[in-house]
Amino acid sequence: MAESVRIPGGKAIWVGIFAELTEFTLMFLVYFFARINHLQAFHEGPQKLSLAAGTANTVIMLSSSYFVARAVLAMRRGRSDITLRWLFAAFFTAVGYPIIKVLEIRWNLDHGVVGRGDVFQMSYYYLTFNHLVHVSWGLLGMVWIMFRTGFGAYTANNHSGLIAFASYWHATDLIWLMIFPLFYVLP
Amino acid sequence: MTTVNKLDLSWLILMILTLSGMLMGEYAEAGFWITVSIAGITALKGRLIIDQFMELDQASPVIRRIVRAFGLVVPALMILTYLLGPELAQVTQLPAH
Repeated sequence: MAESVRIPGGKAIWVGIFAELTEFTLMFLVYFFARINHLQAFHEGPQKLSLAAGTANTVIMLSSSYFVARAVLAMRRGRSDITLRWLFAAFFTAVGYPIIKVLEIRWNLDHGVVGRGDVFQMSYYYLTFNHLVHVSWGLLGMVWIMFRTGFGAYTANNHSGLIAFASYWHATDLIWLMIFPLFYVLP
Repeated sequence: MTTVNKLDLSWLILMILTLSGMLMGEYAEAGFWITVSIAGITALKGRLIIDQFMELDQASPVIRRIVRAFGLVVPALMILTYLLGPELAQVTQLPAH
């Protein structure tokens, strides 16, 4: 059987997603380069961060991603009303991410975890702020997709815009799944 | 299994794996098997997102392979740097004058 050539959401979004994955791959290489050269700082680093905040944001990203997957499924079945409900669920869940980030940063500052701290703390701020920027773009994109869905722009046979957004959002979730163990878990 | 059931089950597994990761972050001491476990959990979570949420198991093989490879970079580097950290540090530093 011939292999599938399906490009979810079209070629354009994958240019953006591959750029995003390349950017974070380079940052992960920098993380590991710093880690092998400053083992002690990276060994002690996770103990200085709020594991609860990192876990909460992981649950938020995974759940929001799941809601978006359900939204795509509903659209495939021609139920744009249900799609919109899943997108609302995804959006209000995802808004928790920047809120937790603000609380986490305040907690960090109270506990001496600052951007001019050691190499672990610098890596943590650089990578997680960068990810926050990508989540913020995703939230803006999600609002746009909700408007389009609400105004009936997508159908069961034509909803590549929705799939393009979903692909970006899942990729951003995937990146967070890599960041979480590096800063909050790996001793 | 229906697509809905697959998504529900994937979410549930992802939550259990996240909780496992949290417990490791709270209680685990550095060691080879802990590093392998964390890397394995990270790879498995990534694969679930890629195949079930992104549905790349049914997509273009080029896209599928690139994204699956991305999902393995961090877990592989976790294990590699645990095993060969000092050696890699030595070959990635400029010689001292």
